[in-house]
Amino acid sequence: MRLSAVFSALFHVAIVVLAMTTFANRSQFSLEAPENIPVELLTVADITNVSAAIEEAEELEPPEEEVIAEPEPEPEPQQMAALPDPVLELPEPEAEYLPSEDEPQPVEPEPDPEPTPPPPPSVRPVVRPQPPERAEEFDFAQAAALIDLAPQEEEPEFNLDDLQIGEETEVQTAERSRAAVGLGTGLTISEKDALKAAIEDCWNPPVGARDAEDLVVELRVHFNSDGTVRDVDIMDFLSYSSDNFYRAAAESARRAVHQCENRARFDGSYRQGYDLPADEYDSWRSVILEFNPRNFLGGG
Amino acid sequence: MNTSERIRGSLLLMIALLLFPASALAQTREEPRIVIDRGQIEPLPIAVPAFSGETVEEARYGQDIASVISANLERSGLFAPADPRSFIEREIEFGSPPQFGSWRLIRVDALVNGRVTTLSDGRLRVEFFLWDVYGEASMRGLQLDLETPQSWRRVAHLISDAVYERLTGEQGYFDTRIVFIAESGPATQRVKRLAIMDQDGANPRMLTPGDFLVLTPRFSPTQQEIVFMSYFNNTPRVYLFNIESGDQEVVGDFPGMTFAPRFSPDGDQIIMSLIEGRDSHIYTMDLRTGARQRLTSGPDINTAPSYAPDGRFITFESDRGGSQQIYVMNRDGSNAHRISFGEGRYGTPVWSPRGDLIAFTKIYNGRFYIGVMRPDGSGERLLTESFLDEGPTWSPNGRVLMFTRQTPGYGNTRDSTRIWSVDLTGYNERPILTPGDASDPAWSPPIPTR
Repeated sequence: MRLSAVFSALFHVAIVVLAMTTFANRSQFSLEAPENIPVELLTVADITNVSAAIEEAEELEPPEEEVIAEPEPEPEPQQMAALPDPVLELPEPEAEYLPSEDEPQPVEPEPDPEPTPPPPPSVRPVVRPQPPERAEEFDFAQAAALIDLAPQEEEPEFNLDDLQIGEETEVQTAERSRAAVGLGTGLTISEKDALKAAIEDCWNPPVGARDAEDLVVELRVHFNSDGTVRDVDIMDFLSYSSDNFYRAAAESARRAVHQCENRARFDGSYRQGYDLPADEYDSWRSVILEFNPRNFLGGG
Repeated sequence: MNTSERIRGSLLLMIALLLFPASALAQTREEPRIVIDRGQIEPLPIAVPAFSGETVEEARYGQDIASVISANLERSGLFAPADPRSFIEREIEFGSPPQFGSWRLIRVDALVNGRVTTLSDGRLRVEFFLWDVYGEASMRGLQLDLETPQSWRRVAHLISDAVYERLTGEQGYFDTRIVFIAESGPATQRVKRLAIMDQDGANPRMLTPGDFLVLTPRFSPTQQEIVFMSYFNNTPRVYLFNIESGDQEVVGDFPGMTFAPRFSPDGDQIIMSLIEGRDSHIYTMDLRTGARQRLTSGPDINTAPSYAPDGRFITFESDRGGSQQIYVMNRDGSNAHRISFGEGRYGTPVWSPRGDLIAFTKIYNGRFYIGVMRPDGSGERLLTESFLDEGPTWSPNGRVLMFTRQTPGYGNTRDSTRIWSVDLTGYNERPILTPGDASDPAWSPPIPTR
């Protein structure tokens, strides 16, 4: 009896201590959370970063070694993001953050002022993102450029190498700098809003069901890299399989995701899949959508 | 030794449990989370092509069944059946998946595909699949054998219910009937007969001959029985009427006039009003034992009682506070308290079959309204407004209300009295087609399938 009383007391003490420590953890967590919010904003800097990369790349064109040197230091601080791309630049964009919105513009003017033969091919690839298909397109362009160059100049092979190296490094730096920011930050608020608006356009929840405003459904949507939907999981499978109201609500949510996948844009073009930034695929590979009808059904 | 081990083990377990949510949190934080809190309130686009049939007769039934299903779903206001002329895939092999892409092209979310076949004994068999066009999967399949071909309409209602239930999560209400008062003749010599029809207005039939007045019919929740007030033998009394046998009997041998009857949720009791001098009081009567109980007291008019679906509470109207208002009391009559506090007068409260709302008639500034409020009186919403709307009745799933609407005549046209329906959301107000003037609708529970 006494023994058990002692143990019981010990248990209680343990619970209190653990509760306190977890509380402490909690507060740490809540401290971390606000850090995440500015991270979203950081993605805006991704544009800045890219343009910065272009500038650097152009400047660096003559000395190739330096270009190579840049990516090398970046891998060191990878601890933050699991992916191998340079997280090094994370601190930089923060500093550059404010001017970032102005900076993207220089990207376009750049091609014009540069009269030298090498720049034109180098600029194009920088503007374009990762997709491999487009890389092929570049090859064509490069090939054309080479053919042009071949008759004109005596040492085509040298030029070839130079060009390729130059392009690769520029593309790489651009990609890496984008990815560097993209990976750590996820979707921007405006990108999230665009996705939200696209889905809201198709969501037709069951109305009038008993306590319909409380039928909050969570879906995990898995996307392909082109923005099309690969799979949709209804997260609360227990409710889905046991509650008819929940099932109807969950299915209306799932329909919305599928239904608005392919739609005409305002400018008349047609999109297949959702408009999501391809260079940040890692951050939206899967997204949790919470369908909450309270705001517009709760009026009663 | 053993205990210390156990304690250590349970301590570890506790630590693990306490730490778990933190680790789970850390994991989920990686995925972006987007809250979708706006949507469209639009009817769900659905396609109901004619059910296929080998013979001319089968094909005709197939066509008729599909059009009844289509009309049911459309009338609910929750579905928008697509025009059959827009269908791209004309012949779907029954049982195998349709070409979902061609249905997506015409923006249809769901597809009902069925067929009619004749069994070896001559009976008809109706089968259908409900397809999720975007999910590319079958959501529901059903097979129904008809005792007689005449019940094809009922089969169409049952299929409508199945489709409705699967897509909205709510119980369907298409395989139900409405009892109502069919009115005819001039205002001074009005003939009021008890009548019944399918929920969509089809198959109207008279139940009483019309030589005595009939008012306020109510369906039994469990039996094919109706309770109503009748001036049979010139004394207003509450009567029971059996739909199948046509038998009619008076409820209880009360000295005075009884009115406003309704069944208890278990169907074993009738709750009604009895006039006593200048007041009226609410009584219950047990149909098996004949035992009666008075639930209200005081010099007031208490009437229009209606049970909550769980039978624990009763809502009624009373003028005890000086004006006609809605009250709720316990089933034994205790704890009566007023719940309606808006401007105007409130009457004919009816508790929703799903328990969450009470429907009522409201009279304010000479206009009539049908509205709903929660049983605690909060959340009042008015659904309709007109010259005269009154007497709401709930669909068995608590989703739709029917009521009587009187429209004043102009010039040579007489006043007209019709039954209307409105969705709980206040949308989709529409008249029910009846052979002539009709009032006092009462919705039946789902018809039992045998």
